[in-house]
Amino acid sequence: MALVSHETTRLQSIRRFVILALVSAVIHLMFVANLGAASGLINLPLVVSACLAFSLGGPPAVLVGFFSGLFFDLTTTGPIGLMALLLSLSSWALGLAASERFAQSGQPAVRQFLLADCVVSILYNLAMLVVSGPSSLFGLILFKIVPSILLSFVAFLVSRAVLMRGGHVRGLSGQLPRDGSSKHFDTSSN
Amino acid sequence: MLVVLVILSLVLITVSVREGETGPLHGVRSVVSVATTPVRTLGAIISSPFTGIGSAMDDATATPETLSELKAENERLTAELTELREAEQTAIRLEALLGLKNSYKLESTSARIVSNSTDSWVSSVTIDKGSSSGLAVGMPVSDSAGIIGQIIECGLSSSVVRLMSDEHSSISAMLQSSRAQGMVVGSADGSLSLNLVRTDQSVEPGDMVVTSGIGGVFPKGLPLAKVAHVDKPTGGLYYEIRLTPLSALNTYEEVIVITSLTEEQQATADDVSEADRQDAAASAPTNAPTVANNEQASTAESELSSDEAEPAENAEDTDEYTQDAEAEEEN
Repeated sequence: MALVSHETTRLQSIRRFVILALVSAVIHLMFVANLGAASGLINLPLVVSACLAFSLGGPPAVLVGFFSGLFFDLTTTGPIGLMALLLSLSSWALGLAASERFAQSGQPAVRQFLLADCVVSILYNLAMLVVSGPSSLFGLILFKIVPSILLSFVAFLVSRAVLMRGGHVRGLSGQLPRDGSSKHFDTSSN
Repeated sequence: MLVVLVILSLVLITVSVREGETGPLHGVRSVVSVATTPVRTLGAIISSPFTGIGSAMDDATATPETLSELKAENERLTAELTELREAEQTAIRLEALLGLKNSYKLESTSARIVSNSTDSWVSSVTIDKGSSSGLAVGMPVSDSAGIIGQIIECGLSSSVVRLMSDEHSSISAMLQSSRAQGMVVGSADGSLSLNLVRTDQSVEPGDMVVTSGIGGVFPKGLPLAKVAHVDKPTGGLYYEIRLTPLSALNTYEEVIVITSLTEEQQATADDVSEADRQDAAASAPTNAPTVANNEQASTAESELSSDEAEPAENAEDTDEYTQDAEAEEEN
């Protein structure tokens, strides 16, 4: 009986995950291109992979980061694999302490996302600088890196609020937080 | 897991950078582009009502219909006026040698912009036509007001167009009035400037900047931008010229892709010589080439490949630029 219940929970988690991935992909394609400030755009794959990394942790987080980055690479003009590499690493780093940070009312998750956001944006743009040739470093920072970081950060805050409100932090992973506590999660919707 | 994916990513990056436009990874990207075009188009349609919010606030006294009609009319008339001025100047200079003919007999394919760039690195738009419609990388793209950019990636049914406001974009151009040659380049903040115009040439705000045709990529004489501000640095060799683009791009707009050029639309060998002469005249006093000179030289060199294969058969252009050269020598 317990085995059946566990299998059902796993299937529900996979279904939720697939739905979230599809919705994120559609939002990325439909709206991200039209929501910009200066020359900066939201890095939605980073936001999604970070949210899931905080929730899942471990190898699944790295996988999500890799495929999110690969999707980004395939829908842009940069080298294929660059964002996949960066998001694999960032998801791994963010997933180290996993769900308890995401759910905490404090700011560790927010701070760590902001750090990952900065590192990913800077490394990606510097790598593009190397690949694409000479560019104005000042313009690069002022008009591309900083707006992208800020927009992605705002998108993360919104996503985090939505996910925590809906109790999807636990629902996506199908697991309780690693410390076994459920006090941070509203599980009523699950 | 992490190590495997990192190695896989590095392999993908290496292959992607080395394989060129025809490799399997770019093929996959092309397939993804085709598959996602309907979603992008839908997003553009949904977003289109909101793109005009900013301008609506600025022009609250007029109705949106009136504004869009006036804007369309203004763009059409500006393009028409530029074309007429170009034709007039050509006719005056070449007198009886030339008949008045349309400078823009463009062989083109119409397309529609379906989305903007989804990454912040490249200022680009995606159009809904690709290699199946005869498009290819490098083809110029124009809207009703003038050139907007050039195709940098071409899938089966969609293409990515690098806008001329992108900081890695540079287009050989000239001032319509003085025929001074330069390079229209973009910047990270999306502004346009005209570089490499010598300070002994005549430039005024409001002057029209058109394509020079050097390189055979862009047709000669198509409007690019207007001069907005001219700064003459003390002791500098070149003006600092800021431009106002003629096109105000919104998604889901019609554009044309110029698929081939006639001989009249290409710059002749004399045009290239004239550009080189202007550059040489500017760099001569310093006895040391500047970075800008090198950039122009490399650009001219890369764009020369098509010109070198074709003799200078266009007597009209030859005469035109001979007169320009004489006029500049008098100056």
